[in-house]
Amino acid sequence: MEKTWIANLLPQDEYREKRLLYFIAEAVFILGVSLFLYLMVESFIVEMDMPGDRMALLCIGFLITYTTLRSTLTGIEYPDVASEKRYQKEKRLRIYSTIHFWIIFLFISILFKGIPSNLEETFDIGGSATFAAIFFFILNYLSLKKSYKKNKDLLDD
Amino acid sequence: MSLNNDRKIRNRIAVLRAEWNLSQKQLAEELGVSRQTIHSLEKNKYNPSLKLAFEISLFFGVALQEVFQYEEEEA
Repeated sequence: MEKTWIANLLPQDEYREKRLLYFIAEAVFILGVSLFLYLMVESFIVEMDMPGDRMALLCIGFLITYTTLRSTLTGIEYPDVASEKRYQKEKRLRIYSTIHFWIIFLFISILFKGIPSNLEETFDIGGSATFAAIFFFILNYLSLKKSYKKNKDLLDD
Repeated sequence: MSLNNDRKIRNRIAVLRAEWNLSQKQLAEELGVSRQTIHSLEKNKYNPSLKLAFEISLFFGVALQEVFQYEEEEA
């Protein structure tokens, strides 16, 4: 890998690193084409007037979702999980990390929205954190399961 | 002049690994890469970096050309 700051954010294993770079490049390409089409439609066909913040959120969301889903479905995130014992151990770790995620999400939500003063606000903050945690767990679990299946198929001895 | 796309890089990692009586996992650990990397290399689905190629040949104690060959693709 060339010396660049992005190398610090990529996996150390060169095969995984290259795959991830391809997924990011695919996401950027699709996003670029989509933005170009949007620009054409906006300029020549119909004015959609999408607010800038919504547009930024959509772009960031697409980049993250596409890259995460591609690497999840390819099963490259857990390259060394090949035995039932290791799989069960990783599954337990995913549960712990989901609990950590839920606590951090809750903490950040309270930090931004303030301590809930009524039941509705409590449900709002707690519900968002729980929903995000469930999504986080499902994504991690799917990735782990896919990686385990892939690694088991690769077993050579 | 451009790269010849009809030629592919093949390797003898699986053969050398068998000679050394190593599993993919053991070789991956020795080289500090994932087992998926070794598997992809053996199946010729992935071309390693020059650094990893040298690491592999150094590990087996053979010349680079004895591990990797630049061959015409089979029809």
